[in-house]
Amino acid sequence: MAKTLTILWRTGSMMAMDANVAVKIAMAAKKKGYNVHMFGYGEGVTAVKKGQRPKRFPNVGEELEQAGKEGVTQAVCETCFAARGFERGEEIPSAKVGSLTNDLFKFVSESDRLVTIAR
Amino acid sequence: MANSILVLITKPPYGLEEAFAGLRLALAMGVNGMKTSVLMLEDGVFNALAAQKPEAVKMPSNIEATKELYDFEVPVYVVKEDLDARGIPESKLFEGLKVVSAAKAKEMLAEHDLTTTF
Repeated sequence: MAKTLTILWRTGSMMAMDANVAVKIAMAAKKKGYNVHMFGYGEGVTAVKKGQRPKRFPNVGEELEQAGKEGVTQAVCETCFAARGFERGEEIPSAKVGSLTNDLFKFVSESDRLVTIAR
Repeated sequence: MANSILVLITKPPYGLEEAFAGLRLALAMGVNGMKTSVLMLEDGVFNALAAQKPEAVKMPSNIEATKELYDFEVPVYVVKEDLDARGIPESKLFEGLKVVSAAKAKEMLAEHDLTTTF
């Protein structure tokens, strides 16, 4: 039976590569046969904002979308999302605007490993 | 499948969202019935001070966020050595917290299926 990994990331889309690294870890685990969940909390929610256009850096929104297409499930904290002025529909298609109580709890309870990426 | 989680709070209250976010995550796990524990360590022990005045910085109270955990039987521990290092006597802590040694804290890591750090 495949093992399950949840990655909880809490840094944003810009100014740090943490979210990009989180996607890389997710994809590496996926290739090794893990089921992978990702949950964006705090500033992490900014990584799922649709329409990012970084000029010189990797586009983490696009990376997350690609990971979603390859089966990495993604959700972010709705309270954190709204607190930053984002509205439902502004997230990339692969990400769900969800909650700690429902989505993160489900991810965590299914997991064999939990990786936290934060500063 | 995980049946338990230990939430480490390593950051002080206010000025940073980390400690509050960790307490809310613990609450989300606790309300769903998962065995959840919180451990305040390093600068996270400043969250245990009874004399916090979050209204002074217009922030939500980390004391209230901690006490909400008690309603769901989520224990909150504070590392004694980290209190001592910062000159905080146990008499300055708010009620309901459990002070533990660093050695016990290390054991707690092994007693939970998953750990996350704030």
